[in-house]
Amino acid sequence: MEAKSNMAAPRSSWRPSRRTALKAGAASLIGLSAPAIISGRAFSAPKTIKIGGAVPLSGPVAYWGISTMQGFVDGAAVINEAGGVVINGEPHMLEIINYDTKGETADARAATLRLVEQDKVKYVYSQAAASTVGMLQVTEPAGVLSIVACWGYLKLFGKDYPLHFRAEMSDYEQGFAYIPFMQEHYGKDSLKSAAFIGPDDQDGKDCNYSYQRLMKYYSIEDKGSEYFNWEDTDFYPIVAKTLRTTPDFIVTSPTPPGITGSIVKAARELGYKGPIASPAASETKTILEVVGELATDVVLPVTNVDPTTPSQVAIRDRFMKRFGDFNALAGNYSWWIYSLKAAFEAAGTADDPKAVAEALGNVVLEDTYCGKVAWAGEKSFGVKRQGVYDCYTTLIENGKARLADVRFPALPADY
Amino acid sequence: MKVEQGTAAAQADGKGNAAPPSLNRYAWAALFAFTLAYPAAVSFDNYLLHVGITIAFNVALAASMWLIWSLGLVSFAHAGFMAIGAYTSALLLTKLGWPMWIGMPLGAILAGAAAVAISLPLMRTRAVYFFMASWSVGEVIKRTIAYFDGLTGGWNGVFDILPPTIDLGPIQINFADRIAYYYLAVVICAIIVLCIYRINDSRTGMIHWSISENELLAEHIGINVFKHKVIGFTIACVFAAVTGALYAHYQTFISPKSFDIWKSEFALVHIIVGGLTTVGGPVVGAISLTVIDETLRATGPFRVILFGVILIATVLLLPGGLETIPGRIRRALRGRKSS
Repeated sequence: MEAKSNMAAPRSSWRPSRRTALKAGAASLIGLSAPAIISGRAFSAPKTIKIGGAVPLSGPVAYWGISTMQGFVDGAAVINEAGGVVINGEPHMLEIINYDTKGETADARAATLRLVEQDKVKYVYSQAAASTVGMLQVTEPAGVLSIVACWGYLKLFGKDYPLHFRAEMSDYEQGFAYIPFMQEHYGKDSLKSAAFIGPDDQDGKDCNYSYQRLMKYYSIEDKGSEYFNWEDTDFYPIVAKTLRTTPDFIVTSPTPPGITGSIVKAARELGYKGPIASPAASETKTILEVVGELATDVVLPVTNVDPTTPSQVAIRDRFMKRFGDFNALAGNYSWWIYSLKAAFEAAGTADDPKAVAEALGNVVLEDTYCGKVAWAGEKSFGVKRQGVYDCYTTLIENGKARLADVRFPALPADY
Repeated sequence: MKVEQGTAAAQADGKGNAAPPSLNRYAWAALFAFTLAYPAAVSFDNYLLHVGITIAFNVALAASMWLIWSLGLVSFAHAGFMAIGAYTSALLLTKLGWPMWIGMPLGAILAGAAAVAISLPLMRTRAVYFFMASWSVGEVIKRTIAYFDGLTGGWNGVFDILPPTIDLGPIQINFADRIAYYYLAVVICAIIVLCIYRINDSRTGMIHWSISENELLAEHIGINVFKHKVIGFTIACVFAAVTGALYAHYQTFISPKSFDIWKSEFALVHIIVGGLTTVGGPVVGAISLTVIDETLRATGPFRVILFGVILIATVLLLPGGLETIPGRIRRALRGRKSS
C-alpha cells in the first residue's frame, strides 16, 4: 500500500536520492562525451587510398580487363588484411573502384573522368590500347598516376608522360626472352626466317613494329606480314599466304587465345610444321580446345601454366577461392598493386602522385607471380616506366601444355 | 505512322483563332529550361556535365537518324558521316590550324556532298538492300579514313583536337571549360532537334511519312520520292557531320574505331526505345539510355547484360517506346475518371 501511494505521488514532489543523482550525472557525462568518443575513434581509423580501374569489363577484350581487375581486388584484400599500406608508420587501407570501359576510347575517358572528378581517385589502372588512350586524355593533365597493360601508341609513353606506367611487358620486351629460348630449343639454324600475322588495326601495326625490331636484332629474315580483321572467322586465306613465303616460324600478335588457336589450326592443316609464337595469348585452355591434337610447337611467352613457388601457388589458390577461376594472365597482373604499395611506402605519401611515380620507378619485387619484377626503359623512353619480369614461357606439344622456360629478358644495352 | 503533326493550321479552331500551345510544346519548353539549368542543378559537377554533353551528342545523332527513319529507311552509314564531319574539322585544326568554327561547316558541306553522291545509287535500293548498302557505306568511310594514314593518322587516330575558343575582345570564351562546352553542345543539339522538328512539322514531313507508309502510292499521287529521299538523307547526314565535329573537339582524340557500326546501332536503339513516331522519341530514348548506361558503369561485367535486359523489357512492356508514356497515363487517368 505504501509503495502504491508513493508511485501515485505527484511528480513535483519527487526528490532524487543522492544515488539517483549520481547515476543521472554519469549517464549525462557518457551521453555528452559519446560524440567525442565516436569521432575520436573515427579519427584513429585508418585512412583510405582509392585506386580506380577504368578497364574493359564487357565487350571483346573483357577477358583482359577482368583479369586486371582481379589482380587489384585480390591484392587490396590481402594488403588490407595484413594491416594495409603503412606510410610514415600510419596504416592506410586500399579501396578499389572499378568502372567498365567496354574497351572503347570514349567510354574509357568517361570512366576515368568519373574516377578522377567524382571519386577523387589519384591512381588509375587500365587495360588495352583503346582504354589506355581514353584514360590518358584525363589522367596525365589531372596529375593522376596511371598503370596499364598497353603495347602500342608509343608516342603516348615516355618522359612526356611521367605519371604513366606500362606494367605489362609488350611483345618487344618478351622477345628478348622467348626468341633466345626458341633458338636454344629448336636450334638457331632452324629459325633463320619468320613471318608475322596480326590484326588490321593500330594494335597490329604496333606489334608488327616490335616484331620488325626483334627480327633485326636477332638477324632473322622477315618474310612478310599479313593482317586479319577482328570479325574474321576464316584464317585459312591469310595463313596460306603466309606459308607461301616459307617462314621458319610464325609470330602472331596481339592475338587472343581463340584467334591464336584458329591460326595454329589452319597452319597445321595446311601442312606447316614450324613453331608458332603468340606473345599475347597467355592462355592454353582455349587454344587446346580449338586446335585439339594438332596443337604442337605453340610457344606462349609470359604464360605460367604451372605455378610452383609458394607465392604463385598462394595467388592461384586465392583467385580460385575468391573468383572461382584463375588464369595465367590474371597472375601476370597480380603484382601491380604490390608495386604500388611499395611505392607509397617508399615515397612516404599517397597524396602526391608525382612523388609516388618517382618511387614506383625504382621498385623491385623479387617474389611475385612473374618472379622478379622491375621497371626499365630509361634509355629507350627517357624514364623507367616499363615493367620487366621473368618470362615464363609455356610450350604446347602434342596437345599438352608445359612450362618450358623461365628467364629474365636479355634486354639490349640501349634499352 | 505519324501520330502528331502539330501544325498551326491543325491547331487553329474553326473561327480563325489560334489554338493555345499544345502540351507537347510545354514539354519541349520544360525540357529546354531544365537543360539550361542542369549545370546549376548538378552543382557544376564536372563529371555530370560530361554526362550532359554525351547526352547532347547522342540526342543529336539519334534525332538526325530519325529523320532518315521518317522516310521509312534505316541507315547504318550514319556514324560514317559523323566521321566525315569529325575528321574534317579535326584535320583542319591539327594540320592547318583552322578553328572548329570553320571546320564544322566545311565538314558539314563535305558530308552533305558525299551524302548526295552516295544517295544517288543508294536511294534506288529498298528495305533490306538499303540496310545492307548503308552498312557498307559506313564501313567504307571508316576504312577509307584508316587507309590514308599519312593524312588521317590511320588506325592510330588524331590527337590534340583542341576545343574551340571565342575571342571578341571583351567576350572571350574558352570551350575547354566543361560548362562552356556543355552549353555549346546543348545549343547545337537544340538547333538540330528544332530543325528536324520543323521539317517534320511541315509539308515535307507529311511527304516523308507518306513515303514511309507507301512509297509506290506516294509516287502515284505526284510526289518525287527519289528527290525527297535524297534531300532528307543529305540533311540528316549534314546534322550527323555537325555532331561529329562537336564530338571530336570535345573528346580531343578520334580514330576510325570511334565511328564504327556500333555508333549507328546505338543511335537506332535510342530511336526504338524512345519511340518511332515523333522526334521526341529519339530525344527521350537518347537521354534515358545514356543515363542508364552511365549508371550501370559501376556494375562492371553486368553492365551490358543489365542494359540488354532493360532494352528488352522496354520493348516488351512499352511497345511504341517511351514516347507513349504520356498517352498511356492520360488514358489511365481517363479510365479512372469514367469508372
